[in-house]
Amino acid sequence: MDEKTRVKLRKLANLLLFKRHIYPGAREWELEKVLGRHYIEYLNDFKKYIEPMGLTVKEVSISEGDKTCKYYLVVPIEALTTSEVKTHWWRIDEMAVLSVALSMILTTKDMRIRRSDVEEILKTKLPEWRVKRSINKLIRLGYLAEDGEDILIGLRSKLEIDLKKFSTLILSSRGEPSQEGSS
Amino acid sequence: MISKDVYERIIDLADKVYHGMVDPLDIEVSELIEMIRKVDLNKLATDLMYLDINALYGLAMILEAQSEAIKRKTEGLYLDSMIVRLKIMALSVDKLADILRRVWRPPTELNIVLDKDLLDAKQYFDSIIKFKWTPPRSIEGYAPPQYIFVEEFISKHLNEIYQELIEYSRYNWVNYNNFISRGRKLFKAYILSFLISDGLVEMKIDRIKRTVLIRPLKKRVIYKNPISIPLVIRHG
Repeated sequence: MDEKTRVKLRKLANLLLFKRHIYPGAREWELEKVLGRHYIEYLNDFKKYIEPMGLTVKEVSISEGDKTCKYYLVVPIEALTTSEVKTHWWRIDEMAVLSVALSMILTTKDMRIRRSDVEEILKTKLPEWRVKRSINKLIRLGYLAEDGEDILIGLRSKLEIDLKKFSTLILSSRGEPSQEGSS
Repeated sequence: MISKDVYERIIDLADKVYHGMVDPLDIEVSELIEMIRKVDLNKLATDLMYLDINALYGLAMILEAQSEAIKRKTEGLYLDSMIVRLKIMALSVDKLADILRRVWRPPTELNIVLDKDLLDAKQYFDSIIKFKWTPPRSIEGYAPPQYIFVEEFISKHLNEIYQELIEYSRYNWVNYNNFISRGRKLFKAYILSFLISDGLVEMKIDRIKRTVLIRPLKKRVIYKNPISIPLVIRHG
C-alpha cells in the first residue's frame, strides 16, 4: 500500500468512526471533500480491513430538505445477541414499542401514523405509562419523529434498521399459540 | 368546456391526496388530463384560466404522489395494515423485540482521550472558584469566624422596636426621622423596614412638608399592591 492510500484510509477511518457532530458516520459530500472523487475506491479498501473484525460500511439514502444524499456508517455485519443489545440503552419493552411503531408506520401510505393509534395497540401489551415513556424516549433518541399528532420513522431508524428485512420478518413471524388453542 | 365546479373538484382532490386523505393510486389521472386538454384556452375566461392552471398543478402533484406510492410498494416496504395488526396482537413483547434485534445494526464509533484533553480538563478544574470554604482546624490559635443568623437576629428585635413605637406614638402619626434618631439610628431604620413591609407599621410621605410619617397599627395589614420607598438617612 502506498503512502497516499495509507493517509486517505486513515482520514476515512477518522470520518466514519469518530463522532464529529451528534452521530457517527459521514455524508457522501464530506467523503468527497476529504478523499476526492474516487472516495468509493477507498471505501471498498476500508471495507476489506474491517470485515475480518465483523464490521462493514453501510450506505443509506437520506433526504435532507429537497435533496437525497448518501450517508455512510460503520455497522456490525451480524446482529447483536440479546445480551449485547442490553448493554446498549435498550430495554426489551422499548424495542418492542419501536418494533410495533415501525411496523404500523410501514402500513400507512404516507409513512405517518397517529400516535394515539400506536399507543392503543401497545396498551394491550404494556402498561400505559411505559408506552408513553418509551415513545417519548424513542422520539428523543431520533428513532421516531413527531409531527403534530403523528409519528414518523426517525433518521436513526433509517440508518440503523434494515426496514426491508424488518417488513419481511414481521410478515413471516409466527405468534405464540394462544392458551385456548394449546389446551 | 369544463365548468368551474369541475376545476374546483380536481383542485380539492389534489389537496386531499397531498394530505393523505385519498390514495393517489385510486385516481385515474389520464382521464382528468384528457378532460383538461380538450379545453380551448383561447375561449377561456380569466377566472377559469386561473383554475385551469391550478388544476393542472394539482394533477402534477397527484402524479408525483402516485410515483412515490409505486416506488414504495416495489421496494417491498409496504405492509398490509390488517395483517400487521393481527401479527402484532399475536406476537409477544419478547418476540417483537427479537425481530427488531435481528435487523438492528448500531453504528460503530471510537472514543479516545488525548493527553491535551486531560491537560485542558486539569487547567479548567484548577481555575474553578471554590464555592464552599472549609476553615482549617489544625492551625493553632485560629478561631473560625462567627456567623450571625440574620433571621433570628431580626425577629428577636422586631417586637422590641414595635413596642417602643407604640409607646412613643400612642398610635398616632409621628415623624420617622425623629423616631429613629432616638438611640441606634441605623439599627432602628433597618428593623422598621421589616415592620413596615410586614404590615405592622404604616408609612406615608408628606410631600408639602417633606417629612416621612409613621404610625403603628393595632392589627396587621396585608398590602395588595406593595411598593418600595427608598429613604435616605443621614448618619454621623
